Amino acid sequence: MSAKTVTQPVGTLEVRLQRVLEVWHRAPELPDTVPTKAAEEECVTQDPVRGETPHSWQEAWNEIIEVRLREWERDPCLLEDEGIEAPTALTIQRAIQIAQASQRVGMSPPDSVVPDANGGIVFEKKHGDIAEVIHVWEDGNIEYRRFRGTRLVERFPL
Amino acid sequence: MEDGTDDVADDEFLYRRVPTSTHWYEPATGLKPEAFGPHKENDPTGISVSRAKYTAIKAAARGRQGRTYYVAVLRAGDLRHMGIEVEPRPLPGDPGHAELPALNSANRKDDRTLELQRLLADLCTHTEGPFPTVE
Repeated sequence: MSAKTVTQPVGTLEVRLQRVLEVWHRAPELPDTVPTKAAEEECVTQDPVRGETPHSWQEAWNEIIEVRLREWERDPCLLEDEGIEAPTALTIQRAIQIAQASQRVGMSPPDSVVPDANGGIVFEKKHGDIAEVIHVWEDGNIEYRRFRGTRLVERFPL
Repeated sequence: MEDGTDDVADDEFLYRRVPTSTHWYEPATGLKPEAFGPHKENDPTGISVSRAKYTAIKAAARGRQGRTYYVAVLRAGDLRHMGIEVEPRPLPGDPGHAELPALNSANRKDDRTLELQRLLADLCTHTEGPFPTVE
């Protein structure tokens, strides 16, 4: 990272995620109301590549938030290990807020959510040779990174 | 007598311990770059690996009692070919301890370190385990 000071952007998480939205794999439009099964069968949109529906994306986000992140929140000792620091409650809360905001703005769910060695949390999505990461660092900084193969091609704070 | 101070040869295999609890390795999805992330304090001179020449894989996997660990296997020559040096750093009772100086506590957030983590995950030849740590 460069030595210059990085100024954290202001605004709600949704505002800050807008820049990510321009590049993150987007979710198809969600209906305003809960559709009936018949309506769903008639007009559900699917991701042509992954074959996923907007509702399966919502379910995936819900699982990330309510199962993975809430589990860590309830018992952070699950992640404590040799040379590994568990995320603090505050870091987990930040990660939950990021996930909830990402879900609200229609971002597709990540393929994985894992801790880093220092108490941070990393969301990652891969498509082809592109990997996109939202990293909640243990010091409170949150950033977006995009890799093409192993080369870092974009990085900015959220 | 070889005491771990000999240079790491290109054809040597190296082990990197991966706690199961972190989900950094899943059989279905492979190894995550976070498995090679430096600790902010514990890796001042580089992240640790074990030389297979001196360390049995189950010993390399040993960690906290009651936990399980995978072991990521890498070949020293593959790392060197990509510009990642491997330095022998034997410790008392652990002649096989070695380090990758390019990834360390001070540079853990640098662009290059983040790229190297991803590269190391790609260079992993395979992963063994999980191995439990028992008394």
